[in-house]
Amino acid sequence: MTTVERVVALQRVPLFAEVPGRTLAAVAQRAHEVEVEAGGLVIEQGAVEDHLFAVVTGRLVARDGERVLRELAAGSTVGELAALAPEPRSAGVTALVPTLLLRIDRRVLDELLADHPELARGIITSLVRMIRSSGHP
Amino acid sequence: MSGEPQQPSGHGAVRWLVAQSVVFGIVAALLGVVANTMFLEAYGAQWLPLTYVVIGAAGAAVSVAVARSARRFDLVRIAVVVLGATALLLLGAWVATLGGGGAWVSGPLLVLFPVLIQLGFVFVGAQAGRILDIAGIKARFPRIIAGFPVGAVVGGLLAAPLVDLLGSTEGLLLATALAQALFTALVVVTGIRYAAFLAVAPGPPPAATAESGPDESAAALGLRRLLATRFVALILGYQVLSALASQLSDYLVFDRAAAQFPDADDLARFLGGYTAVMNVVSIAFLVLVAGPLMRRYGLRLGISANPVVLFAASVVMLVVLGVSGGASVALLVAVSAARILDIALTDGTTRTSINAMYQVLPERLRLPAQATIEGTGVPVAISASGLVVLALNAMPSPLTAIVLATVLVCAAWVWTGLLLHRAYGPALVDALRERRLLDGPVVLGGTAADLHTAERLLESPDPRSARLGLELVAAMAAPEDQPELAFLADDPRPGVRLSALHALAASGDGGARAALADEVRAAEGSGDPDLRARAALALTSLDDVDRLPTLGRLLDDPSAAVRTAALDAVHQGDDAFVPAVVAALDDPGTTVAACDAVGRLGDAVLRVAERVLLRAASADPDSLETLRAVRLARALTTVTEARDALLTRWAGHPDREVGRVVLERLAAAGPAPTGLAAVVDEVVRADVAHAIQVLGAAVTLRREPGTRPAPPAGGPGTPQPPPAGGPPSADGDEPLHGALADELTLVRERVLAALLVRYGTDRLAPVTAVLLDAGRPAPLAIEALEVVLGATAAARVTPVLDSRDPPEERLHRLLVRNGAAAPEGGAHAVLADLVEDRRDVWRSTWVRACAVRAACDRGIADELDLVPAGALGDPMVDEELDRIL
Repeated sequence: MTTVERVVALQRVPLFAEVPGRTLAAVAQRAHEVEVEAGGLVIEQGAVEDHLFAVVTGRLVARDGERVLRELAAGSTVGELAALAPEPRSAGVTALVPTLLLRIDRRVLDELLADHPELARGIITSLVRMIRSSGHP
Repeated sequence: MSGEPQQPSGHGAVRWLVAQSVVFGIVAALLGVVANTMFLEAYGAQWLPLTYVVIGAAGAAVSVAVARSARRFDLVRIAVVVLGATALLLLGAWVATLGGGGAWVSGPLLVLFPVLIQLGFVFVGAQAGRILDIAGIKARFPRIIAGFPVGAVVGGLLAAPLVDLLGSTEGLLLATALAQALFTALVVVTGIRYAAFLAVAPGPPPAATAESGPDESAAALGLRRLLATRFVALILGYQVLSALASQLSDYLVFDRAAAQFPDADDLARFLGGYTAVMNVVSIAFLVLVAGPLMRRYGLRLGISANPVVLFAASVVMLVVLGVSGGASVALLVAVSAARILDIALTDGTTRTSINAMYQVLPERLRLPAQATIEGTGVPVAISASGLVVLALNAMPSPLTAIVLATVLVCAAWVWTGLLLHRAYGPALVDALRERRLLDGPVVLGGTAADLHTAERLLESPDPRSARLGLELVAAMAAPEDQPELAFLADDPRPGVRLSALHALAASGDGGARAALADEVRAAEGSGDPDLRARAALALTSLDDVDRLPTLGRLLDDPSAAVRTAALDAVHQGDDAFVPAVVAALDDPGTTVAACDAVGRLGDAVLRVAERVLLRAASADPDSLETLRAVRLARALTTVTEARDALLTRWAGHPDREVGRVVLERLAAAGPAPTGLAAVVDEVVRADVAHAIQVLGAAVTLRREPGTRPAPPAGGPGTPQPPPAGGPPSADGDEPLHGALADELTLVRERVLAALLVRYGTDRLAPVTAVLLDAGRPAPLAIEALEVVLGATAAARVTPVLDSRDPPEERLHRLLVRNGAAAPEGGAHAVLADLVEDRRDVWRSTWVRACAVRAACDRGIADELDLVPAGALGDPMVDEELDRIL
């Protein structure tokens, strides 16, 4: 993917929807493309990592043990909490179909927030949505 | 996105409101004819002043009832009940007159007449205020109100045939009742069609106070407070004086006409012609003149035209009276002309302006306030005019006295209008300020409860909680906390000791400061980064000889957390650390703390800042140099003359992002001094020119789409929703349209920052805050901008700031209002300009990369000169060039 393609992919993600393309270009240039086959492991439950994934194409499933938590399609993000505050992953994530992901490291996210503190509101909104969708009031 | 409904386009709603206005005019004409005829026939003119007095009391009572209802019920429900009940009353009056009796009903009807007219205007105006935004009101309300005189003419023409048809004058009551029922029905239909705006129950009061009790009392309290504000008091005074002046001039017309035409038939003919001319002039003014005048000159004209013209006309009356005498035709012509002008201006400009001004009030109190002002103030003024006329008629020269009284009332009206216009701008800004939820900072460490919480957190096995406890301990500064802090200063845990000693030293304890220095020296070499960070933080309370070398070492610590804490300990005078602090700006882990440290270092950083800004001016756009310049400029928060001189030099920085931050830093409470104002004006001119380029490019590319369709209307500045399903597309012009939208957003932010510098944050900060927040409706902010900047200056920039219109319309407005020429050429020329950027106006690698991609997808890349783009050496642009190769 070129940087432009990555930026367009990231702009489909609600977390980055409000970020101007010229700013997102710096994030996109430092993102890593990850291709996963169907059934491939994306996140291992309990692993201590500090990056998030944006789903470009394909579909993922998040599980807590055997319990399916949610499915994630293109335009979703997974692992935001670890990217903000590194902790053991609370759920495992695998690909349901061949999937293309963009991995964004905490350092990149930190830099983005340092230069654009107003983006914190979008991240808070995204996290609140995530907490609500997981059953919290 | 805001949950508020979007304002409708307006045309459909305006049609329904015009229909209401026409039927309302018919009701008024029919009711005026039947009530006056029945009353004069039964009781004579001598009892008319008494009805004036009753009108005041009845109007006040009805308006209070409506205002109270408005706190509990929605607008449509209240209007339907009031208008429907009036229709039933009229029907009852008709029934009472069947068989030839019931002349007594004419008294109540004569009282009902002006009250109903006021309430009718309140209901029509309030609906318009809910459905249209403030710009819509200014442009379309005159057309809505034009329906009233049209209806009045129709009603007047219908009166005679209806009397013949129904067999008597009293029969007109049945026609009036039916017309009133139709008016009610139109309100019902409008309410259903625009339920999202009209069927909204009043919201809760903004803040319940302990003494306000339930919602009802709080709302009443809110209304009383609102009516006591200077702005609302001025509206009330303006409306009362308007009604008083109008009533006096109206009386003069009838008085002089009666004197000029002693024969009843002659008088009737004159009044018929006068009424016809009055309505025709009013309609023509409303339809042809009022809207464009209001759009061009705004509320300044709307508020001042009527009193100024009537004042001038009353002075003319006085002169004519002195020169030609009271019995002259010239005086009759003068008073008639004055009244005709008054009616035309009242309907065309005054009602529109006052309705626009009500938009400043909180929505939940708008209808109660409007009902109170219009429904009470105007009838009371009518009563007062009756008493004034009665009193002046008892004087030796009553005509002269009444004309003189009219002059004086008009002079007071002009003065009130001036005060009202001056108060409008600040009221608008205050309204925008109050509508934003600005939370104050949370202050921790101020109470005994905080210390108790800190101790519990320190006991927690969770290291994060313990860390929070330490931060809370360090923040304790109250005298009553000292014993507990002294106890914690002997804690076996070095982190707790450091935090407690830090708090004690910060509160001025000299002994604690010495102990703290020892603790810092010990902690500095610790293998625990948390402890080193605590030591670094504690340096803020130390000033001994070891502080500087310790701080220098901690600023170079391998841990970002320690470096951040050390940066927090840098204060004014630590000039030796300028290079380290500026270098820390490049590290995302320490950027925020470094920015704060730069702010504290003040003028010591300016020499470095000058160099960084200079390098960014010649660096490639979106490069590391420009990013560093953005961060450094943003960090220059300590206001000094030297800093302002530096920032003024760079206000027009060639890199737009850097320039925006420089402008943001220059904003101060008051307006810019002359030198800076000239620089900022030039920046705005350049940005408007760039906005024209951006919009021109977007419009051209949309008009001549490539292989893939352009994104839907809404254009630059409007976020596009992602398509439902399917992989994201980066094909065709889509990324370029997004890049142009970003570019326009940047220009908008720059113009807002420049306006803040130019006019001062006191006057503009609430306005720009609302305009920067894309999720909010902006009409009131645009209106406030027009008031602060003036209509002409605001018109030049509003198409840049207001993203609600499609790009084609924004471009057209920018070109017309700034006298600029439209960008030339088709899509090919636009893409060539974007890719080659020979004039160095775009200065954005992101835009350029997207343009190269669009040119490639359109198959025209090989027709463009790609050498300048390749020479940039930017990896993002190179990727797109590689696609072509």
